[in-house]
Amino acid sequence: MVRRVVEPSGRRRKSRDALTSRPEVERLLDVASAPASPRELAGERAAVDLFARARLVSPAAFAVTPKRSSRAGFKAAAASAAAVVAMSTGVSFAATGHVPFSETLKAAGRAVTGQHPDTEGARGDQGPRTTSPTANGPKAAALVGLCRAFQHGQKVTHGHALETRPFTALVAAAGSQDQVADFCAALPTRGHQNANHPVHPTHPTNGPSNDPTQPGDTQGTHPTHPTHPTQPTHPTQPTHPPKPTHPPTPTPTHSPRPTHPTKPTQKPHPTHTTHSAA
Amino acid sequence: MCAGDTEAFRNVYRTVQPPLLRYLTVLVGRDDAEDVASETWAQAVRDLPRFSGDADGFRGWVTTIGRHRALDHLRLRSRRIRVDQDLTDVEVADPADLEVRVAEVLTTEAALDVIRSLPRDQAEAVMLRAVMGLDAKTAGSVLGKRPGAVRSAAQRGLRSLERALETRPDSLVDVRDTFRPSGAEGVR
Repeated sequence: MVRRVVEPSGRRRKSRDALTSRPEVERLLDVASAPASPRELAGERAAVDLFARARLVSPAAFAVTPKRSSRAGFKAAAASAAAVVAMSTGVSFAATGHVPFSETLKAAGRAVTGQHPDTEGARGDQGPRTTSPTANGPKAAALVGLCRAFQHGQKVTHGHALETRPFTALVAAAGSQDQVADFCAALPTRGHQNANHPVHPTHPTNGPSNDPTQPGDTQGTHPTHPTHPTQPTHPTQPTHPPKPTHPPTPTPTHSPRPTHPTKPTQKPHPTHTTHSAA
Repeated sequence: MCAGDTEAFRNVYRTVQPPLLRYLTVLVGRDDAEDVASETWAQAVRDLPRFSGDADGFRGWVTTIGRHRALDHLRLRSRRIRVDQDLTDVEVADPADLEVRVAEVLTTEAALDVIRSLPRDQAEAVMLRAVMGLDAKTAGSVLGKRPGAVRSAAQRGLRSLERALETRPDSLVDVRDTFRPSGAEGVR
């Protein structure tokens, strides 16, 4: 599969081509979009803490709205799964570089970059192609989500879903559109062996983090749970335009205090590794 | 992620944060970009239940939040000290003048300095379109402009960069050569 799976940079090049810039500018833009440095990700822990806390405080806010049409639900699930694929694969360029990220990320990066036959020598030390259904980590989990969306979507899209962009990564992983069904059939069973929750949990909250059909589930939890084939994440507005649904500060002239305008309801306590207050 | 998956959020953060931080660096400068980025994520996490969309939509959404936070930051700063025009008048920093600590960091920062020397509308359009890879429509929604306006601003910005680079030595080329073996963006 020659097609680039590293979506963000692929698209960046495409949009750059459309802008017809010259080589010197290309070089500058390449440098400007170099792999992430650890410094740039220094705020990760704080951000993840905030996220986890927000989820704990108001799990209902993250709950899935039940009302949706089958088709809309499918589209939302596919989009969400694709989001995770695109984003976890987008990190691959960082993981392939000299920046020491976590092993999970490296694994995800290899799983993606290993698919490029035209990979340059700089990546020659990478592991072999690891796109089999046994792959672990975020990539595999995202594929599980895509598979669910695909399997569910067959009923409503009559097989055309694989031609759409959200499924690019899935088709790439399977090898071809014809192989997707088999690929997906092989996927959940093996994923279940790695499941973090072999026993069905009791869902203490209605937070959907344990929702097995959650495409964003990167931990491979309950991959085989059959009851909710595809629970999309945010079905309330299924035909989402790319523009943000809720611009945070609609009136630019109005200047709120930028320091904590958006403070989450809880104080992030000790684990801040990043910023000092301005 | 929208459903509260922490690991999914972590992966999204690792992908979105670096380009976001660089965009914010172009807007508010290196010293303040990290603070603005932190505020951005805090708001994004808080408002996440209201977001719906795919990966592109999320990048655009977070970038929009970041832009608003950055503009707020600039307004506050310009009230404190009247330096509001400096943003578009910053001298182009010569990478050769910058101290070499880590090659990759230096080059990225130097490149951002060059982009930051553009008029702000051009710098933003170049960052969103050519560095972050947002499509014109998404970039337009971030900037509150029509896609066509974003395209033309990006083109003007790239032409300005061409002119700027013509008058400069090949320092960026050299730097690029040292950076290349790290295998950042190998596939062409």
